Amino acid sequence: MYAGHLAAGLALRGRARKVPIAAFLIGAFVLDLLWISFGMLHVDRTPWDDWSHSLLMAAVWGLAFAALFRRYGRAAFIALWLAVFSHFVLDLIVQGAALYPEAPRSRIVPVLVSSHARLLQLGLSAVLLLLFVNDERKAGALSWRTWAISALVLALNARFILGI
Amino acid sequence: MQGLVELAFIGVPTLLIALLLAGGRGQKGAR
Repeated sequence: MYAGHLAAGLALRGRARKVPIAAFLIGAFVLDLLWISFGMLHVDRTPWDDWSHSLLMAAVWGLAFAALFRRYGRAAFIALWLAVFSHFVLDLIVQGAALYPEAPRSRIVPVLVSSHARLLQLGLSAVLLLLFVNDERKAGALSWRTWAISALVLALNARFILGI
Repeated sequence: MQGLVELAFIGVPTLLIALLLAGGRGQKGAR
């Protein structure tokens, strides 16, 4: 999953509009940022990237990230935790995941959807973007920018079609 | 190298979206 994470961050933005949008977008990619860092530091050598992407660690990293924005209140804390955790949920669907670090194979959740995965990612992105557009409309902030962002995120789904 | 490519794929759209939304807020405030 790639563009779906951006869509998830945008969909959660309406829950706490005072929080900078970048926090939601970065939050939605915290697990990948950790995965990149752990890879460079040779920390996580598990096949399922357990230390960044497992169920337990996604919940923990979500708490740590949301805590950085606790001054924005409880709704923002929950929304930002969800932004981080949504990464686990979306990846789980198309990639599978470990429940906790160094988990035995019996504790690995297999890929939930293997056929038409790209179509599913596009569909999920579209649904999440509809939430974003609806929130922007309700907040009186709907403009060409909203549509441009939505089009950009949908177009980014092409990354996997192009194989990059 | 793969890490840098991934960083670009995360960072560039994030920056673009943040700039687009920030621009919208600025316009609204100016009115």
